[in-house]
Amino acid sequence: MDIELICLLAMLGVFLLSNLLLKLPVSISMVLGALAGAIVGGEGIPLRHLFEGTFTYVDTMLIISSAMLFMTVIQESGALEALNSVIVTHFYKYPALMLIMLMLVIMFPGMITGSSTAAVLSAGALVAPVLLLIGIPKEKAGAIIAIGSIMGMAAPPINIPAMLIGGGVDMPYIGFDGPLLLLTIPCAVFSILFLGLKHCRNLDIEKLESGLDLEVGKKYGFKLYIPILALFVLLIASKAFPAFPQIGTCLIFLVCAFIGLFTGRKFNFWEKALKAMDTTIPVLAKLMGVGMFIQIMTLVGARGWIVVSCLSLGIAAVYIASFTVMPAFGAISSYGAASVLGVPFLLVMIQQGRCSDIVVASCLSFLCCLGDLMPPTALAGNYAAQIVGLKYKPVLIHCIVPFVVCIAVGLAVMLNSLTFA
Amino acid sequence: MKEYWKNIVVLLIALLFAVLASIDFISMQVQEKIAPNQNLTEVKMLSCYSPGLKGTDSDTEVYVFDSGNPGGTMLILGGTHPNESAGMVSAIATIENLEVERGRVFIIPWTNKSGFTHTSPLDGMQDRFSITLSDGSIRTFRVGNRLTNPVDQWPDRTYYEGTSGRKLIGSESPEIRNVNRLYYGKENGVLTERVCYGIYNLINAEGVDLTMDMHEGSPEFLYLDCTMVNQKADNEKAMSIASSMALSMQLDGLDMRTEYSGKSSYGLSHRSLGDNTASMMTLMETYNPSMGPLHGKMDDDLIVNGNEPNYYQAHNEGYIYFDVPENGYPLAERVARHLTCISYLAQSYSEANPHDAIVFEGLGSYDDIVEKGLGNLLKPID
Ligand SMILES: [Zn+2]
Repeated sequence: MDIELICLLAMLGVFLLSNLLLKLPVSISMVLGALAGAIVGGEGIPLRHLFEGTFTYVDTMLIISSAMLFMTVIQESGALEALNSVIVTHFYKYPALMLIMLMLVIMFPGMITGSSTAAVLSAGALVAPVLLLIGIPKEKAGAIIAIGSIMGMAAPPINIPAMLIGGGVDMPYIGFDGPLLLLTIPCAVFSILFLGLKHCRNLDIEKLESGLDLEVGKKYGFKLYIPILALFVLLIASKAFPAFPQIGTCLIFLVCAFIGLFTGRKFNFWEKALKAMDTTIPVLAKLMGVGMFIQIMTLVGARGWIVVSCLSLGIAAVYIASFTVMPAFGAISSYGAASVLGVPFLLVMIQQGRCSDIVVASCLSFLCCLGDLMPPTALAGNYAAQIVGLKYKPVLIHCIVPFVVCIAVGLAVMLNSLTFA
Repeated sequence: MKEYWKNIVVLLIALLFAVLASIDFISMQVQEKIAPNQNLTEVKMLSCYSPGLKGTDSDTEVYVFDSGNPGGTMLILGGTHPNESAGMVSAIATIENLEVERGRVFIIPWTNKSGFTHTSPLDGMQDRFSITLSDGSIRTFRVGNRLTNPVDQWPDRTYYEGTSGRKLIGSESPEIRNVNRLYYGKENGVLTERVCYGIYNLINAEGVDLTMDMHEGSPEFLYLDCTMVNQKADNEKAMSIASSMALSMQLDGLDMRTEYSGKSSYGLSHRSLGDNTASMMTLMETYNPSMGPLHGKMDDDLIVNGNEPNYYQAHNEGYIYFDVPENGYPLAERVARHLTCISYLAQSYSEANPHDAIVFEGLGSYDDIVEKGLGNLLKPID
């Protein structure tokens, strides 16, 4: 057996043992797995590599943290609730349109933070009561939130698995917006219509209004939406004009969050911000753990071994693994799936030729994101079930059809990548 | 209260590890020593040509060899990308062995000096490698990162346009720390741009006629064993000089081709310095197996002996076009290739421009260098 394979098995073994048996958090398990790999690979405890891997995603981590603060503000200020009410009261006659708009609200925090957990815990938590109010059963509402948050995680502008995969092959994260929208929007629309539409024929507006909080919207009016608008303007302007002051994505989120403190309901910012960071830190820790894990895999040669082994298996095996093994790897970590499997798979597909690298990378990242539905970790799924007050299993059952459709869409686009390039 | 103490203990442990690791990272700021060469005329700093570099971690040494006899001027750049080790080692070997007979030669071994103080995350890069010299002494060299250290230049702007018109946006935005994207530089631009400006200004101030920028690439890269050429006013003449160099190398049994600088290669040395100075610009790439994503365990065997069975296998299975050598591609052969290229380039240039000839000795032929090995090419440090 190759020494690289032994290292790899040691890393995965220690990781799984720590995570499943010892019930340690994913991040800590990744650290232990990395340590095991370094020791088996004859590197001892290579402090510099452990640290360097940990700090790989420091910029992304700062963006996620600042985006979470922004989400907290627009959630607590009442902007999201008002948006829900506007959508329901204006569009209840067109249930399909209404559902699609609610789905976009669920996706929004995932889009700007790249984290499905952020989407579930912020917008998901606010849209869930609305879905129940419309008459969608609990388990389906949970499934909608789980799928929606994953679509948000995969949708542009921020898709972390796509960044991880691109970073692994030295491909700039440019031009992903189109393919990612092509993948996520149809799947999101299908999922919410499939799960929700039949429950919201003949909606009774009076019953809806009595269940919605219409006060916030009336009290603050358009002012509530200023932070969201400011965010769009600043994000787009800073990418469109080089002369525009480059304050950076983090500061844009923080500035908009600051504006939000004055445009709606008053709340204790310090307390809510601490709470938001409590939910964010495990996500950041996972990114640090993944960085350390991959750094050690590369150092001991396990990463090269995986790529070369994939190359030898041939292209068909790689395509099959990309829609089976890769989402399944999400049970460990969807970020891990992107780096450990996504990168070599993309390399194999690029070397094979006849494909558009950006479209293929987008599809692979999309398939990785779906891993967040995989039990037992099932980050998105478990949180979504918690929000509607259920165990994950009944919610998971309703996720199956949308999940299969997403896989099919991802695979179809990937196999025809040149058509969509 | 118990929770409080637990937190403090965790923080203290983290701090302890951080301090231990930082000792390792900080040690990368100690640069390689260069053995004395009696033919060396003077050592300047790049800040002489770009005042904005003074006192920064990017101010770098320029080694000047002036024959005192009339002739042309050549500039040799190593370490534009500090992870491409053959570039720096070739530059250092040149400084330790060169003897100029006509004209002048300027050599910069650590072009992006800040880049030598850190390594690239996720790549599992070794930060150093050693070479044993013929007298038994050991010389250690750093392996850096192709970009400027974020400690010296951070954060990367979302959208930046260099003087060449190259737009750095999206994930190309870290390239704002890549010397070879920001030519012809800007006097008071970002730190990396000030390095580019220093080189641009050096070429103008010293009337450099011929420049070689030494690089390496992973086997997936399409321009290996290739010299890029660009000169705006006199394109054909520059190409014929480079072609004559390539022919000489082929006669020695070495693969080498020449290509014009890409139309959209804005900001790269061969393109943007070619467009904006009078110097003939060339850039050469050799194959470095430690740089690619297929590389196996990272150790001296990979960096110094260039031994990578993974790439040989991938090539055999038809995934890699570059003709990967079965027994690896040792650093000595890569350095020999760079030095031979420099020698033949100067020779071809001198034949085409007899009044501005650049004539030097001391580097030896390809076979000489490979046979003697780096242990003899590099000189002991006292
Ligand atoms: Zn280079």
